[in-house]
Amino acid sequence: MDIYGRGFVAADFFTHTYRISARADARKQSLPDHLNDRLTSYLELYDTFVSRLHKPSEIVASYHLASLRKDGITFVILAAEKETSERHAYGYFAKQLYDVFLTVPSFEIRGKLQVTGKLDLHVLLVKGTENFISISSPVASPCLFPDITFTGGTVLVNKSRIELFCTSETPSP
Amino acid sequence: MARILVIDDDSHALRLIEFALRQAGHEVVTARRGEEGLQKAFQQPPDLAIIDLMMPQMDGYEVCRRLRQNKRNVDTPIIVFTARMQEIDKQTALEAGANEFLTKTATPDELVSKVESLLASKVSAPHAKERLGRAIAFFSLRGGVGVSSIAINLAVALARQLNQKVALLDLCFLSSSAPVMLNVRPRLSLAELSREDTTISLDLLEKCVIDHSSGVKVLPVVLSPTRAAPIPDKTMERVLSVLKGGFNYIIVDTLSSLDDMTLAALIHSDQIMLVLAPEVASIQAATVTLQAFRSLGLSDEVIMPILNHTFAKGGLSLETIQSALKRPIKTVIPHEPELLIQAINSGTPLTLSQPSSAMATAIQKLASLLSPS
Repeated sequence: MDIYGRGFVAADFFTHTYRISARADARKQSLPDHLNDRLTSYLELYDTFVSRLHKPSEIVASYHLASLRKDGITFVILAAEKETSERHAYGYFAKQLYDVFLTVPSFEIRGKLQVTGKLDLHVLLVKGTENFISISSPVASPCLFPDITFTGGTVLVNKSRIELFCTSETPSP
Repeated sequence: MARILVIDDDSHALRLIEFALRQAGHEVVTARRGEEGLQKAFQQPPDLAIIDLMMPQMDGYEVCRRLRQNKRNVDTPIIVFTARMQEIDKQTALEAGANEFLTKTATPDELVSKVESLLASKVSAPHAKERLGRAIAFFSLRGGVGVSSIAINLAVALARQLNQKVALLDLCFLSSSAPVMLNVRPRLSLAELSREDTTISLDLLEKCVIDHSSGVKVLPVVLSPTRAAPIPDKTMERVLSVLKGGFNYIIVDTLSSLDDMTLAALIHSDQIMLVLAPEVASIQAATVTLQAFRSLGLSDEVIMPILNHTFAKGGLSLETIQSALKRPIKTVIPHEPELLIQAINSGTPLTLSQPSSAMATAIQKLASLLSPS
């Protein structure tokens, strides 16, 4: 199988205890779209390297094939910002960026939330149909090891794992 | 042409790297497993190794560690080339013995450029630093306490008296002390050389070095205050690392501020000379500096306070100062106003023009103290 073609995305997946670096089969979609696809519960991973959170650079296990429960993912860090959902690529309303701070199990995440039109947290967190929300320019830190940071172009955060969601009142300049 | 060993379990990446390096005229040896790569390196040490981190059985960190433990590969430059791109990954790779860290978002051209610069600079393994030169930074948060005078005179004393290879890195671009005190005219400075830290090599630095008659090589940061643009901290780290490969001593004359560039110079120096004058404001600045150094994790052992008597009378006593700083001061520079002013005006450092003066003697003593021989 060609795991380097379209639909295979290299990313860092975080559960509340592990960091999993792998290449995910996004079924020829973008990874956000595949994560938000409610028809599948698992994500197929290839070339999977597992690290424990307290030593996130130390590889404790590696397997060619793995399956990861989507609802077990706390967040995913992608290298590039362009790997976000294709659904949000176009729109009639101006896009604005809000500074956000959120806590998820074991982590705190800072970044910028891109909103089309007016920011409505109720729509974003409750009414919205997507399971994973995309935050750009992210900096994620394990709350027990705040000196360690994980950065990337985009972080996809599992909405059901968000404990606290804070945002700036006005868009950032 | 160099012989480059590439270790990567990803056959696509391996083929791409091999192609790019062969195009650049290098001989490439490949391995798809860490153990296989180590065997090849042990049999015939490569000129440079490119190692992936995420490999089954033996990961790239372990490969780096084992290469460094092997006598024949202790100095082999290593580039870690990985899809893992977090700072912690880089830090661990460098601790494991890698010289450079590059993520797989880099283009083949960028990889080749990194390979060329590493081969050119002939950087050895990080732990080999002990065998290389020592960087000694002179600092004071309070200006006008004689930091540049002591730094420059010490550089001259080390070069002249102890026959050491000495580079004087002049970060005091706002005052341009070194060109004036040594009567040299720089034509090119570090800021104009390169902003890309990976391309800095000893050969490149030589282009803006000015030779002083004492043997000291002066390396200015910028040519004039109007063109002052501090170099990035990563570049500073790289510059010091490269200079350590070519000189016994690198004397760093710093600015009176804790900006990023100065901090980088201080953090990557082996010793920090904290210069202070016997007056309350200077002692207060020194106390604040020591606290800042502690918060940065700098060991007390690398910091050496130097008391410089910048005025004749009325200064605080040595005991009072030691008590305020809660540490001993072993080096005291006596007051020598007339001779020092003459030396500055003539562009000849005191250690050359008046080697038997009290100040020059104190600095020569400091030079002997720093030199292990």
